[in-house]
Order: sequence, then structure tokens, then C-alpha cells
Amino acid sequence: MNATNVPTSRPHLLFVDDESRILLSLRAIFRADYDVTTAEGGAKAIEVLKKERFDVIVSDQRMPDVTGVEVLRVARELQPHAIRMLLTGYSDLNAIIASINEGEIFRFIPKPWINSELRETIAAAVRAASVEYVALPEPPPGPQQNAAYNEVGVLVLDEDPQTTVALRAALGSEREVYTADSIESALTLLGQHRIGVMFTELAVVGQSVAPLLGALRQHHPALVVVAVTSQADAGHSISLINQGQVFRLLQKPVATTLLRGTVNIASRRHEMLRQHPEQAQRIAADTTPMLQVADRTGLLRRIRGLLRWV
Amino acid sequence: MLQRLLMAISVGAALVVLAVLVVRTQSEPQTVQGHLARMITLAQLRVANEDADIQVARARLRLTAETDGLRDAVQRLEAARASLSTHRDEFRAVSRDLSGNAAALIEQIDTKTALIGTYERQLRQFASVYERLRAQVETLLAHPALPLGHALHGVVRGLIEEITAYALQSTPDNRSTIESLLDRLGADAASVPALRGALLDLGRSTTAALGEKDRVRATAQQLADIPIAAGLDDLQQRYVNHYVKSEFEVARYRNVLVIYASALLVVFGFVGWRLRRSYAELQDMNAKLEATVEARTAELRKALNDVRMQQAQLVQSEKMAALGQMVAGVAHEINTPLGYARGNVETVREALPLIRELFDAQQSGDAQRQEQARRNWPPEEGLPEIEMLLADADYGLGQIGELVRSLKDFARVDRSLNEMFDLNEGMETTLKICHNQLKGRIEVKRDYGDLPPVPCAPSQINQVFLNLLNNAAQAIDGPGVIAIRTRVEDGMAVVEVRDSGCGMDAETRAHIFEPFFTTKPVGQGTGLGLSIVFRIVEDHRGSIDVESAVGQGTTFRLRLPLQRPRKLATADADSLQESVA
Repeated sequence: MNATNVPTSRPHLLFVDDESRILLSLRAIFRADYDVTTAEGGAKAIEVLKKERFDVIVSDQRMPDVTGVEVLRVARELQPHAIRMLLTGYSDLNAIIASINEGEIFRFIPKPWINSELRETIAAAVRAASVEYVALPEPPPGPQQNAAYNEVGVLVLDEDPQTTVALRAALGSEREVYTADSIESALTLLGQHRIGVMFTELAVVGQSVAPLLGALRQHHPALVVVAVTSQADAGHSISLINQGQVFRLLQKPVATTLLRGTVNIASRRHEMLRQHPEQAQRIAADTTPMLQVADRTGLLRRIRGLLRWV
Repeated sequence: MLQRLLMAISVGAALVVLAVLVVRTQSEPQTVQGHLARMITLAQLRVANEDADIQVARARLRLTAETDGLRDAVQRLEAARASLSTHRDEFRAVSRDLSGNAAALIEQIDTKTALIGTYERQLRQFASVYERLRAQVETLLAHPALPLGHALHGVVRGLIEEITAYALQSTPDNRSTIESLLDRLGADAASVPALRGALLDLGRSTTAALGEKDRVRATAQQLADIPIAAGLDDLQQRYVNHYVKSEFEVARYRNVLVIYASALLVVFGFVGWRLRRSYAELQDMNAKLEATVEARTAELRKALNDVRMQQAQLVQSEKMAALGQMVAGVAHEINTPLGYARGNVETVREALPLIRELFDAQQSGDAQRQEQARRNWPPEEGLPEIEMLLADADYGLGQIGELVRSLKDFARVDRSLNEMFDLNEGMETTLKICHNQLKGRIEVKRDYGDLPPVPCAPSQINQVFLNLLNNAAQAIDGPGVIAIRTRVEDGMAVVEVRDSGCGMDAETRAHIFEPFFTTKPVGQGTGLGLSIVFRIVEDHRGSIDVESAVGQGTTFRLRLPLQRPRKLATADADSLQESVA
């Protein structure tokens, strides 16, 4: 709550942690470049969020009063334009998944951090926050009203046919559902059809889809990726959010209503990203590590040749 | 039950029938010897009777009074009678009719013997009359008055001849001849006056002899009329008939007995066969049963082993889950101070070039450069900040060091499993381990009593403490209090952990130490935590109980013996080691 008196043109950061020494340390790192506000605990953070406007919000997850996910969820409602991040030494899978799905966080930063990396991440977040926030378009009143909206197909990249079955059951004939059981066939389908949303397992045919996600994030930024997995773990989930900026992370088996809701909101997001390409920067992922892999495997070249219509 | 009763009844009936048949065949009154004796008696009687008849007949033909034969016959007859009368009871036993027959026979014999006596007397009477007659005749014939050619001579001679013939043959001709002779004698007696008296006497004697002879004859007739032989025949006939009939009856019963016995034998044989077969089946079934029991036992043993293995796996997974939770908590506890310590050190290091530039600028004496350097790093701000950052980093490193020490104390990997342990210290260590669960939310009130060191496996007791503290923390929703109290009571170390949480009802309280009992949602707890606690406390010969009511919080009270149990020192140290492994 120690707002500095430097001019307000500087980006405004909010750090939330129950340990005051963490806040002091972060302040020492960032006070030279940004307006830094700190809140000791979740409850205080929510108070501040009601009063001041922030560009970037960084919260610890494990706090005695209010959890970080809760703080970020409130922040998403109160200040949807702000970029949200978790900074925590406690990698609890449920918290990570909740931070993705409910907090729609930009990055997950583990403690202990490295100052230089943290600076880069904050800088990336500030860049993302500098793009003016555009709210998701309202859902069209009826399925026939917006042909373009409905034309957007859904691609399933999963060896388990159950995902496609469940998705088809959830969507009925509203929307085209394509199925790929390998990265190759997924790329082919992406080239042939107009696909806005992709549901993907974390690995197919023993191959991680992470490089594909990284490459797609860069070259097909309007594609909204939803991870559907039966083998979620903390490490995977962190890289999915940090490097793949997946929109949602669902754990199998997924309830039909949740699938349907996810497809709808993802489609709206795809539509928004298509209409406002600059918005992709707000969800810019740290794709470097994934791209390196993608480049090595020749994946990147293939992707560059695709997707002219986006 | 009914079947058994019927069985008993039928066996009883079979035995009764058998007994009746045996009695029937065995109750034969005439043994062969008795039968023979009776037949001999009858034969003797017959012989004696015939003999008596012969003697009677023969005595009639005798003119003398020799009656020895008759007497003998009477004696034999009486002997036979006596024999018959001794056998009379036996006859009666054979049949009442036979008894009547025998009695009648005896009566007849008695009559006969009596008549023979009379007969004998009459014979003697006749003999004496005849003797006198013959003497008179001889006297007359020798008398000179009656010479050989005399008419009367011939009459007298003829008279004696006819009388003798009459006595021997008694034909009717004789009688009329004698009567005509007597008439001639009466008519001619007057012709010989000398002999008239003698002749008249002769006539009288002759008449007397005739009369005697007639009486003898009548008696003989009477004797002949007694139907002893017929009675005897009848008796014998009936006896033999009866004997044959009873023999036949016995033989019939014997046949029945034989058939019945054979049938029984067949039945017994069948029963025996059935019994044998049942026994064989029983043995078969026994063998099968044993095999089945063995198979079942093997199955059960396998199931038990599986269950044990699963239990062990569950215990292991519970341990791993608890360990994971603890590690995650501790990681957060460490990462937080590590985060700011590292960040601070880096910040200070990043400031170093600025500080060096300020230092160099001051050395160079270039005022503009100095001002620039001061602007970049104002020492009046920077120095206290560096001081603070380093102090925080130092503090953080100290925190980390303390945590690592606590972890080491908690795990006690470097110490034996059975040592004297300060429970208060153990509780303090454990509180540090689960600090992140409690901090800011839960106030911990400590009331440590003066506890002597307690013999135990410290890492296990710490596990117990951690479990109780975790449960207490989880029971409290939002802010609350955990009160810890230790003291010595009745030679036991007592550790109380009381929370201000939600508490539990009696139903839950009754089950909390059972394996797999959990109030957490499926997948969030194995329900083994408190059962492991219970097991550890039992291994330490201690006890644990719980007081709780819904909304009133929960108190766990752990008691551990202050004295080292004699066995724990040696043998159980191994089992403890095992249960930890």
C-alpha cells in the first residue's frame, strides 16, 4: 500500500505476499523502474484492488487468509485489463490448474526467483498490459445468427477417442469437430480447415505437444488451445501456461457441460483474437524454449507454410 | 427325528418277530425222547393188555386153578398203567383231549385188573368144583355098583367128558348134551340106590360146575368187552396225529423262521452294504472336503496376503502422501526465505557496479561524473537499503538453516529408534515443520510441563505429533487455537493437543482410529493417518484417546510410559524398525 509519488505514467505493479521480507525484496528490485505497491496478505490485496488501478498483479499462492488464486480471481473481475501472475514456492497442482482456469494467469513464477528472469517476466507482463484490453464479444443469441462464428471448427489432438466422442456429444451438430491422433495429422487438418479451438492431450504417440503449442502460439496466435489431460502434474502445467499460454487446463474425464461451456468461451476468445490481432500480445507466451525444440524437429517450417487465412 | 423313530420301531418289530418265531420253534413240548417214551408206554400198555387177554383166554381153557400167568399179566398191566399215569401230564400238555383219553384208558385198565381178579377167583372156584366133580366121577366109575356096561356108567363118563369139553369149548351143543345127560342121570339114579346119593351129588356138582363155568364165561366176556385196545389205538392215533400236526406246525414255523432269518440277513446285508458304501462315500467326501478346505485355506491365505500387501501399500502410499504434503509445505517454507535472500543478494550485487562507479567517480574528482553516479545510486538511500537487504537475506538464511535442522530433528535419521527423547522438543520441532499450515491463521498455545526424557522412537513420535497437529489444523476453519499441554501423570508422559475446530460426533469418534476411516472426500485422504498413529502408540505400550463434541473442538490425549518397557529395549526395537521400514 506504499504507493510511490513518482509520475503515474510509469506502469503500476502490485505484489501480494504474506511474508513482508519478500515484499521488501521485490520492492528493492522494481522500485527503480515501476510504481510498486505491496499488500501483505490476500485480504489487504483485495482492498487495494478496489482502490487503485494496476497494470500487473503478482501474488503468492499460499497465504493464511485468502489464497493467491482467490486474489487473482477477484482481480480478474475488478481489473480485467491487468496482467495476473502467481509467484509461489508451493507447486500445488490444484492451485496451478485453478490459477489457469479461474485466474487466467499470464505466468507462473516459482520461488526462489532469479532477479534478471523476474525482471524480464515483469517487463513482458507490462508489455502485454500495455495493449488495451478488449472484452470478449457477447455470445451470439442463436446458433444460426453468426455463420462466421459457427464456422470455426474444433480440432481434437488425442489418441483417446473418448475426447472426441465426449466433445461431439457436448456440441451436437453445432460445430465441426476434427480429430487427429498425431501432430502430423493435426497440422494437416489445421491447414485444410478453419479451426479456432484446439483440444489437446499433453502428449500423443509418446511425443510431447509442447513444441507444437509453442510454434502455434507464435504463428497461429488466434488459435485458442485447451489442454485436456489425464496425467496433469505441476511441472507440466507450469510449462503449459508459461510457454504455451493454454487457455484452459481440463482434467479427464470432463463433464459435458464444462466441455460445452469451454468450447463456447474459447470460440468467443478466438473470434476476439481474430478481430483484434493485437490482443494476442496480451497472451504472449515465453515461447523460446518450445520454439527451439520445434525448430530442431522442422515443425516450425511446416507451420509457417500453413494457415494463410488467419 | 421322525425317521430315526421309525427306524428304531422297525428294528424293534423285526427283533420281536424273530423272537416269536424262535419261541415258536423252540417251544415244542414233545422232545424226541419224550415222544419215544410216550410211544413206548403205549406199546408196553398194548403188549400188557394183549398179554392179559391171552392169559385170560388161556386161563379159561385150563381146568386147574393155575393163575400165575394171570397174576403176571395183571402186574404188567398195572406197571403199564403206572407208566401211563406218569405220562398223563405230558399228554395233557400235548392236548386236553389226549389227557381225557388217557384218563379213560386208565380207568378201563383199573376195571380190567379188578375183573381179572374176579375172573381169577371164579376160575379157582370152577377149578375146585370141577376137581370135586372129577373125584365124584372117579369114585362113581370105580364103584362096583356101577359096572362098566351099566347105562349109568356111560352117562357118568359122558357127563365128565361133556363137562370138560364144555369147560374148554363151551359150545351150545355141549350144554344141551349135558342137560340131557343130567336128565338121564336124574332118571336113572333111582336104579342104583346105593349110588343114588352120590349120583345126586354128582348132578348137583355138575350143575354147580356149569354155573361156575357160566360165570367165568360171563366175566371173560366182560373182560373182552372192555375196549382197552380200541382206546389205546384211539389214543395212539390221536397222539400220533397231534404229534405229526405239531411237528408239521413247528416245521412250518421253522421254515418261516428260516425264510425270515434269510430275509433279515438280506436286509442286514443290504444295510451293511449301504453302510459300507456310505462309509466309502463319507471317506471320499472327507477327502474331497479336506481338498476343498485346503483349497479354500489357500485362497483365504492368498486373499489375506493380498489384503496385507494392499494394506502395506496403502500404508506406504499414506506415508508417501503425508511425506509429499510435508515436503511441499517445507519446500514453501524454505522457498520463501530463499526467494528473498537470493533476490536481495542479487539486488545488492546488481548495485555493486553503481557503487563502484560512485567510488571511482569520487576517486577521479570529476564533479559531473560524481553527480551522475550519485543520481544513479544515492548512498543515503542505497546504503541503508543494502544493509536492510543483507540483514533480511541473513535472516532468511537463518530461517532456512533452522528449518533444515528441524527437518533433521524431525526425521531423526541419524539416531537410533529407541532412545530417551524430550517430547517437548519433539513437539516444538514438529510445530516448525507444519508452521506454514498454522501461521497467521492459528494461534498455538504452549503449556509444556516438566517432562523427563521418554524412551521412544523419536521420528515415530514426531510423526504422531505431526499427524495430530495436521488434523487439528484441518479441523479449524479460519482462525483458531491449538493448545498443547504436556505433563507427567501416574508415571506416564501425557501430551494433549486440543483444537478449537469443528469437533466430531460420537459416531465419527468411535471410528477415527480404524484404518481407512476418513471424513475427507474420496481421494483426499486414505484414512490411515490416525490408524498409523494408533499403531505407533501401541508399539510404544502407550495409549491414545480422544474427547470431542460437535462444535466444541477436539482433544487428543497421548500417554507414553516413562519407564522403558523391559522388552522394548531389545526385541521390539526390531519390530519398531520393521514398522518404520
